[in-house]
Amino acid sequence: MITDVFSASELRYRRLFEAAHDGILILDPATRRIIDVNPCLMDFLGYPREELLGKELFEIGLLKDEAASQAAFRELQTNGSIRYDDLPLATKDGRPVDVEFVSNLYHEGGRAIIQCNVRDITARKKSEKALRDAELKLTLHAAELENTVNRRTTELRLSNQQLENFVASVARDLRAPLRSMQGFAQLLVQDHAAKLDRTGRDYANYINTAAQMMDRLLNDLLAFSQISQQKIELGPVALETVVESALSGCETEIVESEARVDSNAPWPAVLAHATTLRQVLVNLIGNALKFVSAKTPQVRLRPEERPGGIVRIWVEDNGIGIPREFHERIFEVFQRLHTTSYAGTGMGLAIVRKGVERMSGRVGLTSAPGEGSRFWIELPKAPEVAALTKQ
Amino acid sequence: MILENPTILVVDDDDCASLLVSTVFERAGLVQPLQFARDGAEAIAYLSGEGVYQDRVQYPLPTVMLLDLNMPRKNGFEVLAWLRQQPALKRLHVYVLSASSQDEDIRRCYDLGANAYLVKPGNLEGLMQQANCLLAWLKLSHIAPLA
Repeated sequence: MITDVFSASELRYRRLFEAAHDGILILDPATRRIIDVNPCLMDFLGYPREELLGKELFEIGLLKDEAASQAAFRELQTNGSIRYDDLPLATKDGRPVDVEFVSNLYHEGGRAIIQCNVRDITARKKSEKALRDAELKLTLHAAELENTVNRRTTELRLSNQQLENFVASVARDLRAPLRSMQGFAQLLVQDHAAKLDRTGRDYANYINTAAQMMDRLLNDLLAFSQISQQKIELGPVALETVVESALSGCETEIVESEARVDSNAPWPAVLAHATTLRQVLVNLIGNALKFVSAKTPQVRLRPEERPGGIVRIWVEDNGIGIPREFHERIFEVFQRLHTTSYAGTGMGLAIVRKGVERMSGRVGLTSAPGEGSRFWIELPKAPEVAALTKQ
Repeated sequence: MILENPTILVVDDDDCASLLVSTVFERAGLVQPLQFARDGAEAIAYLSGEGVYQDRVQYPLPTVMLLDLNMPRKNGFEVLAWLRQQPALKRLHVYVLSASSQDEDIRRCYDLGANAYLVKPGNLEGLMQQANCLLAWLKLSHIAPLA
């Protein structure tokens, strides 16, 4: 029956109306007054039914005043719907809320009717604002951080430069009185030996020796500092030239120790810094010639090509060897394992490691007491350059 | 011409170092006593003949100046720069004797007209070598009169 169908549809609509989670207002277009309101809206705004029925929208705060109301209704008549994304409103007890307001003009059963959907967007607005605030804070914070990083980098660069200057002037200024100490101690021994007794001469010699030791320490400290601080540009280096240069730098020690030194050609080219690499090799070769056993010293330098385009440079000796537990420590500054039997400043390997690090390479060793030492450094192989001029 | 007994002016703010130099040169056979200036300003005064240095019997004009670089009041670079502007003095032989072996210091000295650059040796032996070498050199090198 038609009435049954109508009733079923009416019932369905009624259920939706009553149960909706958005507020619904039904208005009479002729009077602009509220003729029906759903429970959600009553709960939301806190008005009982009696206080809403018969009122115009501006009377409950939706739309500013009568003029605004009239304008809205005109628009509704023209376009059939009207939408406000964000309207301020207040509940009956004055609590401010924000709503999304959508209004549609319908024709049902020959007459016109206006349905308004009122959605509470207060919570959503609050969290949107919170998000915007957080984003702003984040942007400001990021900008601040970047400023700080820039400032710190400048400070660090400045302080590194100051450190370099400081070390250089310390080394230089400490050397001056050292020269005097050493010079006069020697003059004492040489020119005034007759006036000194045995002990006196010994004392003068001790002063001399100590001064010389200190000078070597300062030299090594300066070398370490320079290797740490100076700008290094890596480029292709012909190993043959550097090895030759390093060996001639150790000429005196080679002759004095009566060592047999072999250098295995052919030497590839590596990506390195020639001066630093030379210093590294001089220190390694020097050690090989210093920490010798009773046997005739033999030192061998050879290249090894390893996977991944790496060249390993070996410096091998048949000297006293190094116990495994010291293999890490020996690379630290001022570390000496044999303070009495072998002279040294304890800086040689520290300089080696720092130099290799600055060339982005690696250093290591295999060694055991009585079995000699085999030190190696690794550097990237330089791309083949046919006419690689000797540097 | 070659001067038999060159007057050498040693400019260094380190008294101990100057004394050492004096002893070493004496050993190396220098007859004429060394003259000393304690810093750049004093060196300029000496060379200009200002104040006490007017007395050229006691403070003769040197033929060679051993010049340190790092000194208070006026440093070695400033002395060099001043010297080469003086028409009456610009031919003076200046051998820089410095603790610094930095390339930029060496370059700067030669740019300012130094005749040689020596680095202070670390020990007595090195200093003796330098003194001997210098005196032997001065027996070979012809000096032009200053003015």
